[in-house]
Amino acid sequence: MNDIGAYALRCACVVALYAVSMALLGVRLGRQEMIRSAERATYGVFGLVSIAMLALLYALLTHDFHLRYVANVSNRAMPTFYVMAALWGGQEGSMLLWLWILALYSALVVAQHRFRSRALVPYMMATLMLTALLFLTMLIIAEDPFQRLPQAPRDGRGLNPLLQHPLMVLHPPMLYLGFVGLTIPFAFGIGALASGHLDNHWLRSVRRWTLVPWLLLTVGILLGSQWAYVELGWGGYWAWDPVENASLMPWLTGTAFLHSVMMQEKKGMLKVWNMALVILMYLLAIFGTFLTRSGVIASVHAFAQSSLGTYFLLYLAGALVVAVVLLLKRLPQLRSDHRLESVLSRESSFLFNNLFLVGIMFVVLWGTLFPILSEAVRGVKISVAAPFFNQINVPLGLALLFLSGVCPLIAWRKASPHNLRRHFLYPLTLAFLATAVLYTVGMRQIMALIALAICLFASGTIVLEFYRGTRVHWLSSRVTVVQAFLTLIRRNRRRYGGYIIHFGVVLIFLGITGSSAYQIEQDLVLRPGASAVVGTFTLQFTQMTSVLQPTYEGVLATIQVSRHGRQLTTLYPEKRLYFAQNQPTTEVALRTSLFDDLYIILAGFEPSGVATFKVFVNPLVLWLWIGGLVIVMGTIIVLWPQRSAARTGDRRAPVSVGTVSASEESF
Amino acid sequence: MSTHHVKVAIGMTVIVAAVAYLLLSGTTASTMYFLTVPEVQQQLSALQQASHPIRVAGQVTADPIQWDVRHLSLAFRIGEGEARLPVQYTGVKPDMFQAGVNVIVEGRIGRDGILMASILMTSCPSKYQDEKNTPS
Amino acid sequence: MLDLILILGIMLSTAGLVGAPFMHRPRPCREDDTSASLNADLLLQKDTLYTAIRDLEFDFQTGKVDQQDYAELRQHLEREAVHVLRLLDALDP
Repeated sequence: MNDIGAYALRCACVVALYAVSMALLGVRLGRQEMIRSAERATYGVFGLVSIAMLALLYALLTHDFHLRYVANVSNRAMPTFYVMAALWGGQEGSMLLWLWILALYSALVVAQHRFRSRALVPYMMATLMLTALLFLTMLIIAEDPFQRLPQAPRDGRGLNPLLQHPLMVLHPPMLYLGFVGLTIPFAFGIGALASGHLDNHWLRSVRRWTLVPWLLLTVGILLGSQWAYVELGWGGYWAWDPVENASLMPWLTGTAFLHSVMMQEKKGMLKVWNMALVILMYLLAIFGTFLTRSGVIASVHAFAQSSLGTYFLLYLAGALVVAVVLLLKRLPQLRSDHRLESVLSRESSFLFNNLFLVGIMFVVLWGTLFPILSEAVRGVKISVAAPFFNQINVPLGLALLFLSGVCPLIAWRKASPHNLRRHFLYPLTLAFLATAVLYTVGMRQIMALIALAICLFASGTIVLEFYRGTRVHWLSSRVTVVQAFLTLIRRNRRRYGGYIIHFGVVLIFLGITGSSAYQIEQDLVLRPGASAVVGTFTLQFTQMTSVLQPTYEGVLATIQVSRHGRQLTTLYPEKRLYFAQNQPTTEVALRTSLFDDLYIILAGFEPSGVATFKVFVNPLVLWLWIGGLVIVMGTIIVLWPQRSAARTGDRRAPVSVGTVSASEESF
Repeated sequence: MSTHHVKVAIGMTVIVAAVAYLLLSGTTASTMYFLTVPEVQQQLSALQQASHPIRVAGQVTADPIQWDVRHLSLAFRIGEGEARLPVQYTGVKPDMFQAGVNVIVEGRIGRDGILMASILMTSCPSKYQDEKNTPS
Repeated sequence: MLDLILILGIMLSTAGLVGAPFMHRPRPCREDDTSASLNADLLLQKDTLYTAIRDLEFDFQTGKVDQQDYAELRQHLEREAVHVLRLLDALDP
């Protein structure tokens, strides 16, 4: 049965090669049927890779330990849910998932453009299928999921217990849906460059094809942080780890692009910059996948021995060269249509916003690559850890947040300074007053105060925007305030959906500020029955129990949590030993509320019954996840399909240029 | 070039300059050497004198490990080849920690030649299996 | 045996899928008719201008642009829009 899977992959390789050749040949010779054949080949690749995925899934579910992969990542005792998730639990499987998502997106894009943007489609297919070939080659030669063992073991090793967690099941697919999605804008960009059709038509498709992967990437990153927080047990959620950075960099670039693309749509500006961003997103996505796969960060020597790294690097170099050559070739056609009219305009604030975002991305890239580069160049290994990133990215991030508060107050093209000053007044005053109050109440950490002030300022401007917009609609027609509010959002989805997304970001900053600046950490040594006070909580260690489950055994501590005499909850921090992997794990006990998280780790225990606990009180962490949900909501509003009002169709529509059709979309 | 463009150019330059400045100062201030145990042994006296924090990668040796649960204090040695370095760490013992495991420690080396570690990480060959234990 | 049949099946269906376009021989689709693409470009410009006018209107109503700037910009945009509409009319046979 598994031969089918291996065969399907090899077949897919041939078909992908065919697709690339047919597409390029077809566009060169002007033969439509060749291009149509290439399109079908793209569908074919999707079908074949799906067969391979299904074959692997089947092997997992039937516990076919003949396959080395299946023996590595699953065992008979694992719950079925996790056996299925093991499909992407190991190296080979997750590469296959990446490839499958790429094949899916490619098929979707091709189907979507059966009758649109025909000039770009051949080049897009070539780009996407070449990317697929990279992964197909790796899967066939270096990381074969269908490799057989000479003898099937009776039982498999099983998935690392740390990965047997719902968050860790969702995180890789989400992340990949994001990463892979960013190859599509690149395909469009190459299509536009190669075909010479550089007008703004392709931008419209690209916007959606960037926003959806961006959203999924955001969710993927947040899920990963949440998993790290809940499972890894060090009290934090982000460590500026190379793997984490690898997912953040394309995200930052994507955020920059989502803003600067509006400049191009409205004013025909930043054409070269946007192209560069699209190329960068792609390279960072592939590079990010490479970073998390090849272990290059651990040591340059390890990388040199891994064949995987070579494939990736060669491909990246090749892609970069091709993209840059095409870009340079079309440079004359990419000049701006308009110029900036005023420094006080939304355009310039978008420009600054892009600089900050790309700046932060560059800092993360520098910090991630510096160790490797210094080792390769000087032979001296330097380590770059969290303090570096925090020191630099915190001020930059806060400046960016401030900018996001200022920007809604500024109009497109040209804003009037005195109007701006007037509108600044309320949010700024609010921020100042609140900060002053907090300071007098005892909050003295300067960074936290500044951060909070900026959060308040940004929230203030967003609320003000909603208020002013609702008021305009409410005054102009006889509707209720609520109806005016909904109409406002409905007619300006991008703008107000965008504001909601910004608000989600503010909440995330709030969560980060609270949990970084005011974290309490305490070690407790308690014998059964004893209590201790941490922050405002009183913790009583009542007993220690042994636990025996089919897959693990462990020790469980019971802790009664109360505050000001009132019983709140009972927490059970645990230490487990999983039999199959002979791996000990620590299970964190967590109590979440809007104000803070109580986070308890069972650090150790003696035969006498005395146990040591590490306790964290992390304020405002919940707001990180709430902020994430708000971002999702905002993005859905932005993406919600517009009631089509004959966009390009009816140019004969009566035009009284004094009033403009109310169903058009704007930002 | 109109005044608007000049102002925008100034704004852009300020931002780029700020990023560059932060980057350079951060690189000099917040980075540290990442050494192997033999390298540490070679430069031992220099490291003790300079007292910069360093990061060291090595394997936990078969020497006796002292783990004091009440004080969360862990004393062990890491090594590579023939070289050995004693380490003292205060904090939660990582789940994977045992003799033979590869670890990364970060801290300063005192007069007594012991590395007082503020960070201890175990690393496993496959990804997802890193654990971090960092006190605030 | 089953494997072999399945593999053969996959090969044949892929070949069929991919080869089909060569059987029908459709007319080479001349979509890149210059006047059609010019039409599309102008429509896009019209869209953009209308959106810009709407943005401006909204910004004025919410008090971000003052009267003078609003009047100037609005005039400028309307002139451009009329120009584009005239070009579109000219294209219409």
